[in-house]
Amino acid sequence: MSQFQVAVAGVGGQGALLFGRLLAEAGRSRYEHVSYFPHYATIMRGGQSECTVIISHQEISSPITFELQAVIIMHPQFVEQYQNRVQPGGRLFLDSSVVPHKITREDIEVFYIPATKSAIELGDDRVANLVLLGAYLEATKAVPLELVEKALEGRLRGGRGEALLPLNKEALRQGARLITNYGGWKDDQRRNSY
Amino acid sequence: MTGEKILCEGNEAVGRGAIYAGCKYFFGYPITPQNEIAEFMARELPQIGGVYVQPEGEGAVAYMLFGGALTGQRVMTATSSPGFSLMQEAISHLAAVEAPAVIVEVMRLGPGAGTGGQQGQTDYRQVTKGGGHGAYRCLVIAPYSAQEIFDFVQLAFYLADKYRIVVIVLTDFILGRVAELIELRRLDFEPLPQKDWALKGKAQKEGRRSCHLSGLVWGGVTGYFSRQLDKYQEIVASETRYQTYKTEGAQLLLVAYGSMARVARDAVDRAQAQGMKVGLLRPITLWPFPKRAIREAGLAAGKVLVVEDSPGELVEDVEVAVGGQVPVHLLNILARHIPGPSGLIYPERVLQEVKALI
Repeated sequence: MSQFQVAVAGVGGQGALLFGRLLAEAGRSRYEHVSYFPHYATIMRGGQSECTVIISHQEISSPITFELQAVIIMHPQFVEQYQNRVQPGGRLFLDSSVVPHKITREDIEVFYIPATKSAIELGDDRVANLVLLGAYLEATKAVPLELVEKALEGRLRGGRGEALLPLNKEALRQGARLITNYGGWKDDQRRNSY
Repeated sequence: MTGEKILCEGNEAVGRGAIYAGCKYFFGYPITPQNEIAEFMARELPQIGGVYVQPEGEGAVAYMLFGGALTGQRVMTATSSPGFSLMQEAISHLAAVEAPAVIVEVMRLGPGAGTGGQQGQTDYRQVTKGGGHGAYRCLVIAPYSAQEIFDFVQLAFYLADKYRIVVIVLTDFILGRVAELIELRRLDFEPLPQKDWALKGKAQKEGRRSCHLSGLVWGGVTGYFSRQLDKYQEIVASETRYQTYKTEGAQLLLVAYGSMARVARDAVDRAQAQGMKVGLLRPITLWPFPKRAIREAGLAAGKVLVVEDSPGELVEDVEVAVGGQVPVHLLNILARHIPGPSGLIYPERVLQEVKALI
């Protein structure tokens, strides 16, 4: 495809913005045009935190748009509003570990991803955003996962976070696997039960 | 020669553009949503022999800008709406002595403390008509992308020096935050005259003492203002900038600036794809205002729709420009889709308005 658009909605601290920033950084080596718009309240943790990423072979007229090809919902408070922001035929990804809703729209493809549960199993619930990013990449093929790993390396290498690199990469790959082996809503309900 | 391309948010592009323009002195006081500019300058300037100073408030910032400008150095500050209001007194003094300086205003919504740093275009009137006393003018440039921010900050320094005027680069929450690919390139401008008016200290002035006083109107009232008017007229004639987009054969002309021009441009693309003849005229300089271009394009189209994230300020200038000869409609801040941290005007809403009008 010549353009990918995605909005990620979470609350401050969940890493919705990092999801977008990494995708934008990875996208720049494959696409001539990239825009990343982080939109957040002036509260560090707990406030609404949303970003929009567009990667495109054509010039991007507007970095903000209401309807998008894909939406990622990381917190239940966004379900009502953000499911309407998916274009007909588009994709919606939910962190089903924390968002209990079943989406009734039939004109979109919905992926229930147990991101937080997978992240906890990997050792840190804070990588749930990367599980979702891995799932998004596998489902859309917007950019190869390796490019996001490179972007992560660029951020973490040589810094305090370097030790976290393997965990972050594993979270991405786990997200991709959840799409490869995706079994639909019922299967996801089973996965999320403890 | 093409320069390196980087993924850069608008606020950082301000700092990078300033350094490319040779600005080594930045005075700033923290305020959302422009903090990334000060953060960048505080980090980068000391490494190139420059200075970042953060005094006790915006009033002091603007007077430091005043002092720095009078030494003939390229100086800059960046602020957001409430901070810009606090600077007005000093800006008036800068204007009085015709000191060149660049001020970047990253607008945040509303009067008073506003919304603590959310999106809005609610300073148009203040910025274009002058927020301080004394009937002075500031040149106002409104970029609409990270690349333009980078380029226009360089342009701002050139124009400030060329005309000895305060140049305001006006952005907002969206433009400050959006990261896009920018090409790092040094823009070439015509040579500038020597700053023989600059204060350099007695040692470099052959023992002569020189000063600038913003407390008097030099050369008498009419002499002073006729010089200002000549300068303003020259700026209007030479520096009025705008861009048209798909206006050929348009039956409806959209007018928008800054972030809303991006949104309006998207709506134009969608409308054209559906066979509607709609174009966009985007003022790049807000003062001088592209009055004649708007009149001509507006009259050719037969009707105008102004899109601005404000109750309605730009619309007043557009109404004056078309002189009542064609209807001017307004899509304003009430068109925001509210959910989200503060709500935004989306291209879909603009398209809906276009369909209703065409």
